[in-house]
Amino acid sequence: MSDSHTPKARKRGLVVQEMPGEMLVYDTETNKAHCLNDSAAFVWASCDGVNTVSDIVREFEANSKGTVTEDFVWLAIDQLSSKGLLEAKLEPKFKGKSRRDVLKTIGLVSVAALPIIASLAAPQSALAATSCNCSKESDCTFQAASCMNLMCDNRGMTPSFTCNQ
Amino acid sequence: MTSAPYSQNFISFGVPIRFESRNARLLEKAIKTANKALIGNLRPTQKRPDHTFVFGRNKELGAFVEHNGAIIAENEIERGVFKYFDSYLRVRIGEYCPDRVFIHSGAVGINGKALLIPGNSFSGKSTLVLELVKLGAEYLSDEFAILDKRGRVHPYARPINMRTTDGKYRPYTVNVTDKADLKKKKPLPVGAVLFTSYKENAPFRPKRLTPAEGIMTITPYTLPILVNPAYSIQVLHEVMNGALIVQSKRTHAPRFGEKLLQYLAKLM
Repeated sequence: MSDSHTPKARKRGLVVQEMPGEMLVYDTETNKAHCLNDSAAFVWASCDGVNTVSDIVREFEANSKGTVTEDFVWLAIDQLSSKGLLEAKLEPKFKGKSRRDVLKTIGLVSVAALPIIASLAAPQSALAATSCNCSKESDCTFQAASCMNLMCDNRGMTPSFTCNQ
Repeated sequence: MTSAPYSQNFISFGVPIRFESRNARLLEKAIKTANKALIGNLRPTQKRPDHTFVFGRNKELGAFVEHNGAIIAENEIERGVFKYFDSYLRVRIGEYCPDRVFIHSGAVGINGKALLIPGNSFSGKSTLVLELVKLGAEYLSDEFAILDKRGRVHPYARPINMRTTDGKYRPYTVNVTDKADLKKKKPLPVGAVLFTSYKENAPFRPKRLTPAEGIMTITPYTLPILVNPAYSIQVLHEVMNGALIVQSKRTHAPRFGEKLLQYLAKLM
């Protein structure tokens, strides 16, 4: 278990695809895909449960990624924590401050791209992309109700149907 | 489960399935529906099935279909049940296919490379695919892009499913290919991926995405992502690594189609 000063990256249940300048992480437990830019990916890789935040700052700069502050690293850690990419969830460092203010403050004193993690959830069922439809005029009213209640909405999908009226 | 006197084992895209029924007519209808849904990729097999579908009719449920012991559709209207089975089967095969990655996506060929247009039902991808075909693109699919391990697209060329735009959504189909053509078609490498949604009079303002952003954005349309995430991501990486990935709102398909092809001609 990591404490708030030596965060540890979660490895279990993740599919990681490294690419030049970015990283894709797919979380098989939440079915979410996360796209980490270079800065966020570096901080995540440095979260080994031993490194402190100031160690990560030093590693960041030693790898010629630019001059940064501890707040810069915390910005990444806050995002990693909220997205479930650390072993233990941490109390947000910038709680109560607007994201805009935080980015402005950190951006002014950092010479590196701000850490950004974009995320997108996959549907709980692949059936979500499909639809029912009825193809006979007389079936329509009945079919619409049946389709919604019995034939579509039984696997967590969003029901939709087409009708010949 | 009651014993079913009529049954047959098949394999489709590497997925062994079994159909059972106490009614020969229902079994025949199931096979016909499956053949159409899977564009003929349904071969008899001796392999032990991973998925068993039972077709029946009784007073309590009307017509029904079970999948591995659970009812997936039930209705008095048999046609509706088979319509749902048609969609359900395609999705399940796409989810469990061991070596291909099914993407819910339109796909056309342009100068020997594929353009993918990921999107759910009712997102307008069939309209756009049809328009691109009218403008000279090669039809591959209006529903699934089927990717092999090298990230190449295999055709899934059913007749294009269209719906009227008068608010009543009457389904109709447009034949844009024939079976002879299909056999000749070789898998195409992906040249471009377009993420788009309709907005009236929206100008074409393509925003380039990075490969990781492309993989993230396409995951909701990736059928096996829940069943086989590691292989899915590996194949998507192959696709996105070599492709132009763009995102843009689109206006009416004819106007947008022309602009898109002009844009792709310069970059693909």
